[in-house]
Amino acid sequence: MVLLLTSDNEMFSVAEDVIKRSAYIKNMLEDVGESDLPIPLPNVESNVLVKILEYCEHYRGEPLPASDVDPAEIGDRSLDIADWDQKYMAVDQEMLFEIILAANYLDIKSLLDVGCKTVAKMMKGKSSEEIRTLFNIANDFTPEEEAQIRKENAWAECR
Amino acid sequence: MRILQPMRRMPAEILTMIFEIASTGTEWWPDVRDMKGLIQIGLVCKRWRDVVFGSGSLWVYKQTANIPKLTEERCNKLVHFYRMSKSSPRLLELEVPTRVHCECHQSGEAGSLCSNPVVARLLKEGSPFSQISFANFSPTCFKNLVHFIKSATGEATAPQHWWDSVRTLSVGFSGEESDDPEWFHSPDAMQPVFAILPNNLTSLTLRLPDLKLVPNQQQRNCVNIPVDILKKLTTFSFSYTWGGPQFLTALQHCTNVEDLSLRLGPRTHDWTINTDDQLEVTALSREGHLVLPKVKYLNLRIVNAYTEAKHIGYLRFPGLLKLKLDIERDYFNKVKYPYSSILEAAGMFSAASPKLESLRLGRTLVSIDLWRLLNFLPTVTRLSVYGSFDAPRFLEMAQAGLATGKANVAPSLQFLEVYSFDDKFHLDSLLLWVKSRQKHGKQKGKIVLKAPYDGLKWIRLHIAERDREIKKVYYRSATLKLLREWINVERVGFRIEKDDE
Repeated sequence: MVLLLTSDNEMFSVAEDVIKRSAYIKNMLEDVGESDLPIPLPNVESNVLVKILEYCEHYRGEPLPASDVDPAEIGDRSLDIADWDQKYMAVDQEMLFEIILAANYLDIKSLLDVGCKTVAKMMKGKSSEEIRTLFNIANDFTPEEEAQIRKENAWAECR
Repeated sequence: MRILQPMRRMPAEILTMIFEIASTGTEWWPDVRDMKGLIQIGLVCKRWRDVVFGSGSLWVYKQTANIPKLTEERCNKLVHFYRMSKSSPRLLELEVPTRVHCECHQSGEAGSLCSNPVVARLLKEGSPFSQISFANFSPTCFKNLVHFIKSATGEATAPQHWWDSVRTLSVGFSGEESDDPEWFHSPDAMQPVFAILPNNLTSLTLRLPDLKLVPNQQQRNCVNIPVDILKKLTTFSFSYTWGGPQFLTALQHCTNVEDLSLRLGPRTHDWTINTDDQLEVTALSREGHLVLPKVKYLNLRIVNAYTEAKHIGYLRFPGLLKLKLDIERDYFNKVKYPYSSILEAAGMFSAASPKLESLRLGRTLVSIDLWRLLNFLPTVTRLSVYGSFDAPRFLEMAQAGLATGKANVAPSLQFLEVYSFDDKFHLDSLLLWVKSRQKHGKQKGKIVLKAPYDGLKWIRLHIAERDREIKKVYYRSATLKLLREWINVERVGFRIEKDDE
């Protein structure tokens, strides 16, 4: 078992083959060897780690399959997400972004990919104003700056 | 306490990943960057603007210029796009429609396509390119454009012209019945088309045209790609439809190629064409094989198994890990098991066969051929098939095998992927085959596995959103429900919110 200490000081005892999906923890265990000391995760809170462990548990011991399908044969597959992953990612926005940040920190590439795809799907086809509303982002451009960007990139409107 | 909301804490490299996915093209045009969408993202806030416009990495995308239709306006747009990519690699595809021909082929001088002034401007203002494709070009047109590139573009002070720094090149030569003198022994000695390829290529895609048949009158040229270029390649994709073993002349020098794609077989009903050609290979092993030691990934597309098995028989791939095999058609129906015949010819069934891990098979596969293949490939861990074979027949063969005490076929199998199947495909038979591989029983009402466990623990089914009838089959499968107790069965190709089951 591996001990993990989250940023809000909660200790988790996790099976090694579950958490080894994280390249960060896997490398650390290989470098340091067996130890009774917990691995501190200063960038991950306990509620996020619970969610991360749910993912690692689901894919426990399995080779993570990357799809072998040629995109050209079946259209755009880049936004495809497997059914379990879609359900797993059906969380509120804050948790979604926390999962992505934690997946990046823990170096769980497959989870990072799924997280990025989920956010990308939310944004796709939306205007800048709609994206701001979606993610509650303040518009920090002056009207002149915004007009300048539009002018500089008017070329993209041409057919 | 978190000071910034998570979206604001997202590092630039993750934002780049998200924006890259969000600005991929549509379902029907996946290779096109959604430039307008990307600019909308850059207009959200200053931080996002810096990510979108700051580095050129989001603007690395292959742009296509259709030569006769390339307008000044479209050219301006492409040049702008390449400027956005800053010092990142620039990727260009020059394309000529299939039935459009340039008069340079007749006159030998630059014609309407290869001296198109808008193309000339694109090549001058958009360069340097690090990847470039030419689709449906005649040899003369290709040579004229390369001559223009080398004489009129690039910086005079640069130590090497950008053309010779191109690492990835794709050239598709046009012609359904080409009679271009380039491909035949001709008294008009010209500079061979392959002599002008860039010097430092690591990836080459080459599609030769289908030649016009003029029996006993003209003799084809050899595929005389310079040996120095072939030896540097790590990726080689070669479409050779001339028949006969001449493609092996080029392959013998591909000793560093790791990723090889071959599309072989005469696209003609005369299957005897060129089969009597002399084999011009000097690098055969003692056993008479042409060994390509570094090939790890092989993509084989065979038009006619009957003629090509003989040529494939020369090849050996001792380091092969991943194989994709597709038999497009077999004109003469002379081979009973085309897929296994090809692999047997390539020595895959012998004791010294490579430790193949991944196998992907094409649409024309029938159940008995699949069964035969799997019996000879014990190391395969990942199998991808189209759902076009007869699954009940396959199950029948499996059950007959088990009844006679035979072990599971493909005993190392961990991952099974099935795609493009219709509602006629008997999914339950396939799943029953998976179930038959495992010993299982019930303990306190729960399904438990009994040792030895089978390694197959992943099934991925590609069911598109629109395939309602298939979805019904999927949901109604009792075997699937049972399997799910210990196997990950997933389907992709749909969106949850649109599912109403």
